[in-house]
Order: sequence, then structure tokens, then C-alpha cells
Amino acid sequence: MNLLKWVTRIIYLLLEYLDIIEIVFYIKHPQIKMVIFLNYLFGKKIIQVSEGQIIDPLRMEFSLERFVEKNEKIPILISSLILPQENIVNKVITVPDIDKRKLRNIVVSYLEGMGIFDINSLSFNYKIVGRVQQKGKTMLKIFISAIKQSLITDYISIFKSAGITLKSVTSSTISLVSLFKDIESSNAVVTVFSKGEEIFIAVIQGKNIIRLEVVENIDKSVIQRYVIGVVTEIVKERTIFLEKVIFFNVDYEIIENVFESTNIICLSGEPFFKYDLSKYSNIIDILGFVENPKFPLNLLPTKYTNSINLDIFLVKASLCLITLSIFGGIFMLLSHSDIEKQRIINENLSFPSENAPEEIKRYITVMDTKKQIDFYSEEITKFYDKFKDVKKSSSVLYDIFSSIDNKTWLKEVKFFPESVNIKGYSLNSESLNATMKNISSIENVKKVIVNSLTDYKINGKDVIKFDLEIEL
Amino acid sequence: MRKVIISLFFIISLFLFGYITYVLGEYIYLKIKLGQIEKEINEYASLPYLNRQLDFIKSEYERIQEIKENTKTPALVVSEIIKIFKKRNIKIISISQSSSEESQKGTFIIQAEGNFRDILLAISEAENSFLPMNISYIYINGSSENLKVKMSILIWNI
Repeated sequence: MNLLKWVTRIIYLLLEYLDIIEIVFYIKHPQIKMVIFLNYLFGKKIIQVSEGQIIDPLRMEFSLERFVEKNEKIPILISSLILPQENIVNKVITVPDIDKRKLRNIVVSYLEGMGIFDINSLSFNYKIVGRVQQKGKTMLKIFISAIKQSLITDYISIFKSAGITLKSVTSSTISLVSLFKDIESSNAVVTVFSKGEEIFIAVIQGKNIIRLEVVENIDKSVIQRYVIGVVTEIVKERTIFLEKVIFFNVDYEIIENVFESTNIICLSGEPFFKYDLSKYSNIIDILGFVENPKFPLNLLPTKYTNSINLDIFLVKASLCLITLSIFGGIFMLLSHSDIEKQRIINENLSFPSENAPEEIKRYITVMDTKKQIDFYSEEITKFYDKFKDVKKSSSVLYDIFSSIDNKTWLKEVKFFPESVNIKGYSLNSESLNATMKNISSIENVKKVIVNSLTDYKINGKDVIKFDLEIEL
Repeated sequence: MRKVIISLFFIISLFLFGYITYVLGEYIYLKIKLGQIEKEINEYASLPYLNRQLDFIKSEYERIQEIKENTKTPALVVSEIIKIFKKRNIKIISISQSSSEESQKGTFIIQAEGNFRDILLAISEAENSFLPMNISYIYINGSSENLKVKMSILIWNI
């Protein structure tokens, strides 16, 4: 039973570390929500939505443990945490287009300039969310998210005591933007989203977030005034073209009034929403996060995140290796008999055995015969190679003697490796010429030099006495 | 604890992958190696063919060994040359080892007498018998029926 439990836990550990199963918590006192998503090849599917209450805010560990125990259908090992706007400072600031390495200094200066936090006690993160042209200059829109470090540390230990590793802590705000489909436009669009006690106003152009405001949902007239103010400011700035204003969960009267005051198209946002708002209104922040998990700025300390990322990398690498091993294993199983045969053949080739099968004996005999043939061939080649460059005087002599005309005869021949000296007699010059011509045409002969030619008498008969040098 | 499990999991998967890679690698290596043997067997069609080839090449090797055995000293080489000359009724007048300091060691001078045809054939046979020698000088004079020949032969180690 224990083994089964462990195996199940390991399988879930893999699924959760590989983001196949994604668990997201949302904590806003006194509420706690948990959504479990299944990421599959073609999309995402919500498999569990749980809600609960924090019984004792001073003993959060206990509350979380109770909540998890109550709702744990699967082992929860690693999760993300979304915190509401009230715990986190979110700002979109506009800065000149500078070197990205210097951005951190600007962000730090900005946070210090706010005067409400000690920068050393803050955990913050930032991201470029857009680029706009202002007076001919490119300006960057930087989204900054900051939280008290102590709060993050508390949450890490609270989750740890419940046996859960936190892989990210983010603000609920920015992820809301990701929920709207078909909103991407080359022109700017203002989205106004009412959620509980807060109203989120985001100005989006394409994938850029130009502006983000969070105001308290106090009164209709306040909201109306604020939205009109934002719209009017954008129109007056004339840096971007405002196409429409989309309202979600906002009173229809406000929509009408904004339209009348600004003359900008105002639409109800429901048709643009990716999820059924009536069904998922309670987990809207979590949906936004899951829809775009890479965008929200992780507020966990870098050292902690690196450690988690290493674990995730190891799990992913292990899975890749195991997948490859499984394929290899299947191939091995299918080729088992073949592998075994090859192994036996190889063993027998190294250490021949009497009991080897006939086929293997044949291999061995062939190999042995081939080895012997190779050995003898090599020895024979070596022997003949020694005679390869030996010049054969007999063939040269044979060629020379064959070239002698029948009215010419030799008296003396001296053969050297580089030349041949011949002396003799010819009955006439034609015969001598024919002899010299024949000698010159021998393949190995380079040239024929006449050393001497003299008239001579043998037994009273005139002959030509010659002395020729044949260069080889 | 979780870190330990993850690390162990990674190490085990690494070993598993390593083992599978090793086995498959060895299999592929053997497959290639034995594939070559199989190909060669197919090329030669049958083992009897290989055996015939072995017999042929072995007899050639043995012949070479015999030549080597018969020519392992300069005296034996000279003896072989004399045999060839005698076989053709060529009269050996003298055999001497070169005494000149300039001459290389192992140089022999042979003087012989015979008819033109026999002398030429004898030189040719000596040169084609794979004797470890070079003819560095030949002097021939006289008539076809009574030719005198003086040869300088350099004998080298096989």
C-alpha cells in the first residue's frame, strides 16, 4: 500500500513539475481558492476548483493544511500563488528607451521615490510591457511589481509546512489582461474590469500594455469619472489612436455615459471573454494567470527560484532520458534474439568454443580462413615488393640484341645500370642506321650516342666499325 | 526529501539511459562488424571457395619461404646462379668476391663462357627467379657460339 502511495506521489510529482498538472492558489483574506488545471497538447482544462475560508489568519499554516487536506484529490506538491492587488504594488511607468541593464537602477529609483518602502525589504520584479512613440522618441512601458520580502518569506514557509513548494508568487492584476480574446488590435483599446471592490483599467495596444490603473470600486460616478479621465487623457496625448473601450462586469449606465462624454466606441466585454464569466467569475484572477503563466512577474527571491528551476530542469531532463530509454528498451526487447545472437557470435570470435552453433562455427571458420589469407597475402606482397624496383638487365639486353640488323654484328657489350656500351661492325651504313633506329625505339632507351664510326677491313671486305653508347 | 527524490530520479534515469545506450551501441557495432563478415561470405559465395583461395595462396607463400631459405646467405645465392648456368651448359670460369674497397660488400664477379642464346636465357632466368641480387655490370664479347661473359652481381638481404 505504501509503495503504491509512493509511486502515485512520484507520478504526480512528475506531472506537476512538468506543468502537465498545474495547481494555483489564490489567497485573499479570508478567502482561499485553489484551481487545478490540466495542460494538454491542444489547450487547458480545469479539473478542480476549490474554495475555502482562512479560519485563523494568525495560524495560516494550520488553515492551509486543513484546506489542502479537505480538497486534496491528488497530491499537491508544487504550486503557484496569486496574491491580490492589496498586497502588491503594481505600476506601469514610462521611461526612455535605454540599455536594459540600466533598467534595474531606474526601477529601484522609482520604488525609492515612492517613499513608502525600504528598498532592502522589498522583493520586486519588472518587465517591459510596451513601447510607445512620444514626441518622436521611443519610450518603454515598464510594469513593476513589488511586495514586502517578509510576506513572501512567510508564504514560502506556510506552504512548505503544508508540503507544497512554491514555484511562483505573482500579482493578480496583470494576468487579467490575458483573458480577453480577439482584443489584439494595432490601435489602443481600454479595458475596464470590475472585480469586487476594485476596478482595473488597462490600456492595451497589440501585445503592449500602455497603462494600468487600479481604483477602488466605491461609487458609479467615481468610476465613470475615472474612466472618462483616462480616455480623455489618451485622446489628448495623441500618441496612440484609441479604438474602443471594453467594459467587463460594469454597470450599463456607466458604459452609456462614457460613450456620451468621449464619443469613443464603448462595448460590453462579455463576447471578448475566453471563459464563461458567469461560471468562472469567482476564479477570474487564477484563470488569467493560467492563461498566460509566463507573463506575470514572479516575486519569489532569485536564489529560491533558481533552486526550484534546477529541480524542474532535473525532472524534465530525467523524463527525456526515461522516454529515450523506453524507446531504446522497446527496441531492445524487439531485437532481443538478434542482440543475443550478435553477442554470442562476438564472444565466440574472441574465444572460440566447441559447443558453438553451426552458424557461428561457420562465421569463425570464415574469419579464421580470411585471417590466414590476409596474413599470407601480406607476406607475399612484402616479398614481391622487394623486387618491384629491380631493373632487369636481361630484358634490356634482349631488346638491344633483337634490334640488331642482319648485316650488323656485335663484338663487345658492356652493360651498366644506366647505360649500355656496344661495339661491333656493319656491312653498310643502311644496316647501321637501321640498327640505331631500332635501338632508339626501345621503350627504356633515352638516347643513343655514337662514340665512334670508322671504316674497317675484315678479310679484305669493307665494313663500318662502330662504338655506341645507349642511355637507359 | 523531495530534492533527494528528484536527484535520485535523475541519477537513475541517467544510468538507465547510459545502460540502454551502451547495449544498443554495442549491438549496432556488432551488427556493422558482423554485417561485413556476412557480406564477405556472400561475396565469396561459399567456404570451399575461401579454402581453395587459402590453399593457393599458402602454396605461393611456401614457395617464397623456400626461395628465402635457399637464398639466405650470399653463398647460397651464388650457388643458385651457378645451378642456373650449369643447367644451360655454361662453363663457369671463375667466381670471385670483389676485393675493391669501393665495391659494396656482397658483390661477386662471375666469369662464364657459353653460347649466346644460353647465356641470355640464363641471365633472364636468374633475374626472374626472385634471387636477392642486382646485376650491376655485364661485359660480353666474342662470337655467338663462344661468348665470354663477365658479370658483377650485388647480393642483398631478403
